[in-house]
Amino acid sequence: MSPSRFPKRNSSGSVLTELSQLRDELRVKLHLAGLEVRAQWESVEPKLLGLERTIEQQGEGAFEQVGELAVELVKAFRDFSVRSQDGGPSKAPVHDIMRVRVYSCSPTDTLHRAAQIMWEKDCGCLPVIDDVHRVRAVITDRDICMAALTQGVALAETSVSSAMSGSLTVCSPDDSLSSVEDLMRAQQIRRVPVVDANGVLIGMISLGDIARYLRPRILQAPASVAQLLETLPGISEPRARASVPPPGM
Amino acid sequence: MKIDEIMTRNVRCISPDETLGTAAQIMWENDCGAVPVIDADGRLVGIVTDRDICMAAQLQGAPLHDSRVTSAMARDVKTCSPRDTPVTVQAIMQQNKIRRVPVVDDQGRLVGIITLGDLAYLVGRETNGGDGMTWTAVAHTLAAVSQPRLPRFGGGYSDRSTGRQNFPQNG
Repeated sequence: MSPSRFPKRNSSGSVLTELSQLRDELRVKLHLAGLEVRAQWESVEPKLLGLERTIEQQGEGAFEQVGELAVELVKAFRDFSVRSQDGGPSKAPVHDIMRVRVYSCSPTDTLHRAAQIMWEKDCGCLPVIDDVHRVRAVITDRDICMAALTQGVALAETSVSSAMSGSLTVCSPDDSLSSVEDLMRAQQIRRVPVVDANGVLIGMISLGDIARYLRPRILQAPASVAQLLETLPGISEPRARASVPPPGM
Repeated sequence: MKIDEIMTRNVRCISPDETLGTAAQIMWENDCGAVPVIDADGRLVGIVTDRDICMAAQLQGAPLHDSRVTSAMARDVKTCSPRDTPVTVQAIMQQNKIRRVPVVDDQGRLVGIITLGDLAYLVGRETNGGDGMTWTAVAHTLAAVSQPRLPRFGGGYSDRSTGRQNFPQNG
């Protein structure tokens, strides 16, 4: 164990203090947490108490043996503490749940081609990317339906660029799920392309992906569910029709 | 709480003999993604979605005004009664992975439509979630209907269960 890795925790006393403080904090929070979290805690707590006793009894000598483990434990408990709070799971980064196998199309593709990809890949939304894979827009099955109506021609005779969204909303892989939900609610969209710092497509995330991720974690985090459900009626309301001209124009 | 207290009434409908162009126009004017298809007696015979129209346009390769609604609509539609409860309808959505359910009377005539968004709104408005329906239940349903499309109710281009060989060929 190198002392430089733990400059402020180089005594058994300070680790011990931190551990017991964290333990007390967690006990308070656990009153509010779900059953599953409490069960997890009950299996962990005896080990923690054992470690505390060992450090107490053997003083600095014990720190040589268990110091690194204790510091790891403090880290793990910090994480546990964050996750057991209301809203914890929705703080997870987009990166953890985005889909990386994403199909896309180019602005110069025909709508026939874009609809074919949607049919074959069973999806309703494609990012539109340029030659260097930067996202320019998205196109949905609804956009194609409305373009077919307004343009009045077969899909093979018109291009993606004529029907794709005028504005673009993207997110970063480091954004939290809750911030992406905010984005979806504000923009009334269900699907958001994930891009790197250069705007290059690296994935897609949908409201359904977020719902699936949160589902098994729901009991532990009612607040995140409440937030999710706030998003749904929002995006289900009629959207402003700013971007597409009315039919007949 | 019964469905007829929260459903959307006066739903714009279409006849099976009208064109996909008219269906898309209705979707445009009403900013909706699905139009119920009814016969001359007002009985529900199908439903057509924006995705169905997109896929019909792709597979048929024709302008929308040259295709009839009957060529793209789903025929086996899951429905509910105006007397059903939100919990029942939410179960229908979850089992069938659908987010919209037409409401029909005892004679099969369309009286309204209810969406997952309506149910979520209901839960958001009432702390007990409207007759025992909870945030958790609606979140489960949202997760279920957002699964990749699997075999589900029949007909229509948004239904994969009938297989591609059954769809009209181009031209």
